[in-house]
Amino acid sequence: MTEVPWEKIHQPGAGAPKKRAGMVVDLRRCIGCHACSVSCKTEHEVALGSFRTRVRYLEEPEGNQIRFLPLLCMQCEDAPCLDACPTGAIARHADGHVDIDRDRCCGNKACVAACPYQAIFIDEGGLADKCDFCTHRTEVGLDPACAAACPTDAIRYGDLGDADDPVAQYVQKHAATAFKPEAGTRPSVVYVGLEDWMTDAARTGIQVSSDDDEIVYETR
Amino acid sequence: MGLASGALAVPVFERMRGDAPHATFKLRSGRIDYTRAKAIPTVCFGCTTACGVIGWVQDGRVRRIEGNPLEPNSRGKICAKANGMIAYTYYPERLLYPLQRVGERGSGQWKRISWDVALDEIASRLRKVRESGHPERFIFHYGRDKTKGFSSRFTNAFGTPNRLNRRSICSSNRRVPLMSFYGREFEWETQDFANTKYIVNFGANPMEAYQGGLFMMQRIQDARVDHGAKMVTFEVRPSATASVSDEFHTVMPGSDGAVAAGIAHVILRDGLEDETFWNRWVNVPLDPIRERFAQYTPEWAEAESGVPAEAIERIAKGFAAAAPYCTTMSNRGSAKHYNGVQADRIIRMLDPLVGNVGKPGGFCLSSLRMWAGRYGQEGLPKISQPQPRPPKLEPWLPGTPKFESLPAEVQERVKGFPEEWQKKYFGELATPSEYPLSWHWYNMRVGQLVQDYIKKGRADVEVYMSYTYGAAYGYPEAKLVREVFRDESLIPFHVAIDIGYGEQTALADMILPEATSLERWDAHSQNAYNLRPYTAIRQPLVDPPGEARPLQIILRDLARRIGGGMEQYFDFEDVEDFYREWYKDVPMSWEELKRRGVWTDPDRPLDYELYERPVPESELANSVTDRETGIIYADSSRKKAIGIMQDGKAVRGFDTPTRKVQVYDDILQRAARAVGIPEDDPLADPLPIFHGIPGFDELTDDQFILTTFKWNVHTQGRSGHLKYQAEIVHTNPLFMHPDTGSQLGIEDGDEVEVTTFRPKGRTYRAGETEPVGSFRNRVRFLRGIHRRVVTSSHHVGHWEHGAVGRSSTDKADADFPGTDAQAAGLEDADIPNRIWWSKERGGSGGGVHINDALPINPAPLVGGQNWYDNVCRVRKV
Amino acid sequence: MQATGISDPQIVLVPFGVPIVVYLTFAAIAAGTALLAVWLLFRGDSAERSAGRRGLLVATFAIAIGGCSLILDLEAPALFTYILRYFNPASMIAWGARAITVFGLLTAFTWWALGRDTDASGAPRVRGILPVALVLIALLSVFIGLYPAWVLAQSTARPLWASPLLAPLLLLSAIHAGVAVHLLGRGARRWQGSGLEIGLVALQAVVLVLYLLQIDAAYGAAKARLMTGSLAPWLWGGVVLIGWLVPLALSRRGGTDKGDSGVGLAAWRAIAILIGVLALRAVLVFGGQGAEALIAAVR
Repeated sequence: MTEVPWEKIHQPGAGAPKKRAGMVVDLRRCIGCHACSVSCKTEHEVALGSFRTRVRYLEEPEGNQIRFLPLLCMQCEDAPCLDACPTGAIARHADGHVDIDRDRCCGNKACVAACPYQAIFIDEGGLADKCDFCTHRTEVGLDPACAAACPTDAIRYGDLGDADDPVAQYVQKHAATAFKPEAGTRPSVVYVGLEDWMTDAARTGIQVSSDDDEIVYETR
Repeated sequence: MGLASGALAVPVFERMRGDAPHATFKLRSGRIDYTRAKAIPTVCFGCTTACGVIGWVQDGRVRRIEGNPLEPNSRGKICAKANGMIAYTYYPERLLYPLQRVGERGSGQWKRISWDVALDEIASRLRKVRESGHPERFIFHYGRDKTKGFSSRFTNAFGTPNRLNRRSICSSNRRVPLMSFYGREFEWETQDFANTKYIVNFGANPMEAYQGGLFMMQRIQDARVDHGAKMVTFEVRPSATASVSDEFHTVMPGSDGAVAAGIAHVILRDGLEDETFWNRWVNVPLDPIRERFAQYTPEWAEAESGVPAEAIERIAKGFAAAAPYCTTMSNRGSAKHYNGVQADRIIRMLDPLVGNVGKPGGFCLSSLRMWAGRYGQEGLPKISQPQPRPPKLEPWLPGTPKFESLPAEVQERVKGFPEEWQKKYFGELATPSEYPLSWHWYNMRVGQLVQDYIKKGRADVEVYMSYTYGAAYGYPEAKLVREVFRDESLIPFHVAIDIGYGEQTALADMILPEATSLERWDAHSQNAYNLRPYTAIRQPLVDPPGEARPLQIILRDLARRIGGGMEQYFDFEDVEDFYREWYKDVPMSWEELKRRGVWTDPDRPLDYELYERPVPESELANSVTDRETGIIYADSSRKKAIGIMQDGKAVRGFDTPTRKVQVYDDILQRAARAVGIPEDDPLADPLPIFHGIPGFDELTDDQFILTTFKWNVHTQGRSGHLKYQAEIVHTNPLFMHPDTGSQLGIEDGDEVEVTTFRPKGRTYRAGETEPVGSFRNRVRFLRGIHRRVVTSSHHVGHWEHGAVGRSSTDKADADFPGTDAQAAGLEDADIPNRIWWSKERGGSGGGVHINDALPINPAPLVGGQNWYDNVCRVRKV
Repeated sequence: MQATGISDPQIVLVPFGVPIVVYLTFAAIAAGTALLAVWLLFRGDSAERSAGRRGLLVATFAIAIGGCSLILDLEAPALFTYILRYFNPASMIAWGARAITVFGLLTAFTWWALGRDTDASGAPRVRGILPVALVLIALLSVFIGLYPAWVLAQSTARPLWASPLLAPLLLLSAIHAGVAVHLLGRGARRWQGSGLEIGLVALQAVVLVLYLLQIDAAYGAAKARLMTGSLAPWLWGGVVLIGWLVPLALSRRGGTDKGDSGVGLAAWRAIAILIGVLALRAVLVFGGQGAEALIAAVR
């Protein structure tokens, strides 16, 4: 009987730890389909109005096309949320990704204020929540929900700390850059095809805001 | 400022678990435990693309849908709609119990009844209809039926030809040119996007909403980004496809054919065509084509479409230079117009012109279904419904009582039909005589005229069974649909089978709750974009909640109660047994098929150049070859062509009567003659020809073309209540170019009133001056929209479909007996309180229903709805 | 601006809402009052020492009210003990939480201890360990006056908060609040003139002008919101006019404590100052949030 891919997760050794977990988002490939964001919301049963990941639709300042920008927690190497949290509930795992311990979070929102990407929100239980690179999936060897879903392979999850890793090589080859580099947080999520104007157009980040100016997630 | 960040971050890092397991973290409750959850492969029904998926089931609940990596088309990927199946399955306002109307029809008053009462009542009515000798007075009309023939088993056994669909709403205008060119089996093309170098796209939107879109988008993006392929798109708005295209030109609606004609002109003018392929495989010489296309200069095309002549030149040369690694694609943007059939024929012609048909990277064809034994399916296992199968219905030949009961004008028209058509005629609903091409190849119907025909008395109805059918919301002039369904003299009994309570079910006399796609069996196959056929099964992941039942059980139990011989075709207890039998010839055990979800033969050669494949010796034994044409017939009756002689070899050819690509097809001429359209009308021209849309040349400055479109997260009118989808798109502003706004004195965000008018030309109520309807909506400026176009999506603006569908935080009617979220475990903390876009929460609300204002506009001969020909006026409120 | 409903997208960009403004105001009152109380207790005459002791009680209550506001601001208020139970030394909030706790306990204790040891006029005597406690209170007061600036600055996403000028501005404003409280208490004769107030206002004005000037051009929209937009009434009306100019004018008219009219004027002065203190914090908290003030492309 030949093997079926999803049965592999029950085997020992699935989900070997990474040196530096990271993602590359190739905006040249992204078609704005929202497969990532709906998969994410379903995976984590995220309440309406809160977002671990969101796809921004940005109208080109010149030209006649729409550009798509999937955003999620950047898992910064120099993460402001980590320092802001008074209880140390936010911490970094060995693979570098940043996570929130619900046994320590008190919901004081300092992390929400600290994040340059609006990646953190307060969930229905009053605690902070954000993208955690789908820890529960990567532990068993599955890709994070967004990367697994992405039909055009615009979102790729891999080991940025391993020069042999295809994602690390993709980052190198295409000179991937950070979103909002001026925040100086050294994100582990990097972008190919990111243009300067997008940073400003999408400055409101991941959570929906009445200050967004775009054609999906309409608030007004 | 980071007072302490550098120095103090390190101890925090250290304190953190290092390489300790994440299990030391308390995670969000409700997270899936993949070591415990069970993965079950099935087939998605978020839309009709039908991708192979797996569902993760934990504690008896489907928690996640992912792609099935074993499925060769979707390759383990999904779109935003897939997980909507979960939202649908666990929608708190999902229908759970059979209902009977208690108040006036449409008054929204219901009482819960038992399945026995419901089925007995329906069966007794149906038995009476069947025994009356008029089984056609039972209508089964579906919006989405992917049972692959199970429901026709029921209607055939019953004896009604009126199993109606929505193909005219969707795609008949583009299917006709394909079937005319390539034959019945290729109503859908299968371009080899993975290997192509140049794509010219006329109004198709595979990145967003296209049957097969998920298969196309991944291959197109691979080709573009990894292999440097170029994609050119002609569209009226910046769709996702237009936005990721390397070149995007906004075109005047209905001018795609002109652009394609300009491209053909350049190719022919510069001698870039593949004359060898054309002469070998096209049924008409190049000379008449050269003659016709000499007039379609790029400058002319620019005047018609607005696309610069220079761009047309460049694209034509680029396309031809890439041949055979190039392909066209088209869909509603080009086809959903009065001139759509001819426009698509021009577009289709570009492929044989450069000789890319069936070639790697070119315009390929792969069998759409796996019903073995047909063209291109040799060697595949037989997959067909279990025996016994009901006999075919008798056509309504002149002289039969059914024929005599037809209106005189219809009788006269049908009497003038060739015998071939008379043998396919089953009355005006199934085979409308004004639209013979809607049923010449196979039955596509003209769904948007059904209610009008009923109102006019062209067909009598006793029982109307609507199944996942949303015409009361989604059809053009949906108000007419509602009017007819409200009239008990026209439709004495309406039973609706659906999952949710929508605008259509609201007009029923009885509602039967159905299982969702995660709770039922189905057989599935799509044309394979890796050009290697496969089949997949949909299997239940969980049991339906409440008393919802899968369609197969509903129809089986009805058939048994109706009796009279019907029951013999539904002799199964367990639906799984029925499907096991269906798949018995697939060379894989049933258990393994359930485990993998998919079967394919990895050693089968790819479907390139099927037309050059030799006809097997076994088939040649009794064959007869026409000396003049070289066409090989199966036997001396010369009814069925099986191949063609090329260079002394018997090869398959194409699946057309001439076994060649029929760029010349007199079927249009014959159809026009049959319905009284003059043969010099371009609609009837056997060669591809460009003709304008009547009335577009007389547009005044204040008249615009109103088009509609689909969003990537929505599926027609069937997804507005799915919470995560609705959160993304819940409004449908009227998109317009800022220049159009300044012309009209409108600013971004202003409210406007849009008034629509009847089309001109040979179509439904053409030329009437009374407006069709109007709606008010908010304007959103977007560059990239054609200046003569205003456009709005048509998915939203529901007034039923529960709280999310209505975008309202109002509690649902607590007395509604059709559902019980608490009892069925369907409560959802998001619904209704967290619908943040609701008006009650100060949000934008749920958009505007525009479908009442869109005129019914069937394309002549074919009947496909011309969605994008709507002339309108826009006025600031 | 208060978070009335979780998952309301309208509020997500304003994680620091009204409760934080209330906290910052009361913490400023507590810090300023305590700092000046320590001064009075060390340097004042007997009446002023009594006023100083009362000031410590006011500071205790003020910090308690501020602390309650912080707890109520938690989305899960029952978890407030976590802040003391778990300590992240990198977080200024973590330090602040401890500081205000110690501050509250220490001011309460000192107030109580000072009441146990009085001289003949009933004024407290500062002896034994009390000078040590008072010095600690003074240090904590300065810290509580300053640290919110570091808390705001830790939100690197919001460049309007990332200014070193906010620390002096907040501390000066806290002392100003202390002056107001002591004016209300009528025990501190020495500050009833306009001298200290003129100094505080002048320094604050200089720092504020410098702060507004150094806002990067990239945040023009955010700056405009402060100077001419929705927050302008709070800045010009609340901070400058009511908080600074009105009290100064009142101090010129009835600067000394003579008769009932003088008492009334001093109370109005104090209230005006406190309104200004509140307005300044509202302007900074809300001005630093929202889309205009989010980090943007600066190239």
